[in-house]
Amino acid sequence: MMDLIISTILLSLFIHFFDKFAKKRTIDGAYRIYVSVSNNKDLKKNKEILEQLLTVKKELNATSSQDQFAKWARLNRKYEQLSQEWEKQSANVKIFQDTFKRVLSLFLWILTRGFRFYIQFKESKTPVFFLPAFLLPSWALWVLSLPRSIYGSVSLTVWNFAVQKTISGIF
Amino acid sequence: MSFDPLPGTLENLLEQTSLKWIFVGGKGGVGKTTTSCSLAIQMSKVRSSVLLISTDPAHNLSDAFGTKFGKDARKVPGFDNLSAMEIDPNLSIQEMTEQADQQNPNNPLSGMMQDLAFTIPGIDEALAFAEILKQIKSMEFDCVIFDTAPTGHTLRFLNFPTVLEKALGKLGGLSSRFGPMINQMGSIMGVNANEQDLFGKMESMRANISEVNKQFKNPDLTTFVCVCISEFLSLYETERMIQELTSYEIDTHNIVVNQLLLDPNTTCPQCMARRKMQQKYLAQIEELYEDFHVVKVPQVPAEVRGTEALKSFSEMLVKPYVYPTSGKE
Repeated sequence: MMDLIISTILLSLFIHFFDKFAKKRTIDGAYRIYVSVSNNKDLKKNKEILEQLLTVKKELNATSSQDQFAKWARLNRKYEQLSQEWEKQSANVKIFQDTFKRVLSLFLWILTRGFRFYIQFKESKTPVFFLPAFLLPSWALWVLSLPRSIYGSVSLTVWNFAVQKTISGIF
Repeated sequence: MSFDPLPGTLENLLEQTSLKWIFVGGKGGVGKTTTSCSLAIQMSKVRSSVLLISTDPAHNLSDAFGTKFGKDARKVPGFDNLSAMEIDPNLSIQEMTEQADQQNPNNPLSGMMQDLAFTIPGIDEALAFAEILKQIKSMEFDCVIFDTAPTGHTLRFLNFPTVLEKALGKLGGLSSRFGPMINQMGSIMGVNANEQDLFGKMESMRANISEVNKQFKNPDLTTFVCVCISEFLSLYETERMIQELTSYEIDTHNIVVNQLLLDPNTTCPQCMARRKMQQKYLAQIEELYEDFHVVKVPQVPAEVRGTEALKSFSEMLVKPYVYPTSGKE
């Protein structure tokens, strides 16, 4: 009983904070790894151009436009050209990137909610804890035991619902 | 191919007999008008007829030649084949609007079409340019030199043909869709709305603009001369202008650097400090624009005003200036 109470609270907390802080980072990280590993030409090219762009930008910032105008101007031309090229190229990549991230987001959602749902389903007959009969009317006791827990107890489903609402309200 | 730097003169412009349009532009206060007047004088020596136009609202031409010029071409005193005119783009728009109203006072479409046209960004300046082209076309000049407004205006000015062509293309599209409806509405209201005439004008204007647009992108016909001084802001502005011109596909391969202190014998501390600064940027100019003709023009003691002063000044554009070495005697 107590194990079940603690584990469901911890699981909900984990899911909540994962969604809030870690999910986006996870998705971005996965995308970067995929781009590194992938043989997709567009992705590779986009990454290369971006790297060049950042290199030129860094060098541009390190060059004084007043002391070395010729060098600065050439770097600036290159930067402008790479910027346009990258923006054009990004238009192609962005669609794929959006799709990739959306699918991954859905996958993570299914993973987290699915796991919780599985636990609920598996332990649906297990009562989390019992309530004294005199506290509530019989119909309320019946509702709290839905869908398949013992009458007079609070079911895992109801308990998870309460936990989630509480966590959402607090954080 | 020779690795020597290109001659630092504008002689190449005089030799290129196919040139029809020459633009002279740069940051404000660097000597654009003096340079364009001098170039016009030199061009008049090798061409049958030359027109110098100022599109800068500041209108410095009259001051430079000591003669009042207006919006009609007038001969420059002392020259048979050199004319000058000053155009204010803003006034051109007003005149154009008034003309349109006078020609067809009962046309209910004129107001609507004007409002419609002016919602297109840049269209007002493009129409002003169209007005200029109309005037120029009717004058058969062998070569036209533009003394343009400071850079920002110039860049918009040079992009007009493209902007206008796109705009009129859109209006043309409207014509095929709404023309018949406008005719019916006109006949119902008992007004002879000459829709075909209106769109016909637009279309012919578009054809003209398209032709000029091609000419501007033809390096045999059009070139842009950048004028600057050897200071950072002017240099930065020149670089920006050259990149814009490149994106517009307009040829540019001449740079005139004015107000240089070239006296190697000076002992004036301020002149020496200033010359040192100028030499720094001059070196950068030569490195960055190695495929340009870089003309170095010294700072002259007197103001360059009047025909005679401009004539002598213009010699420095076609022959590299050699400082007299016997200054102390």
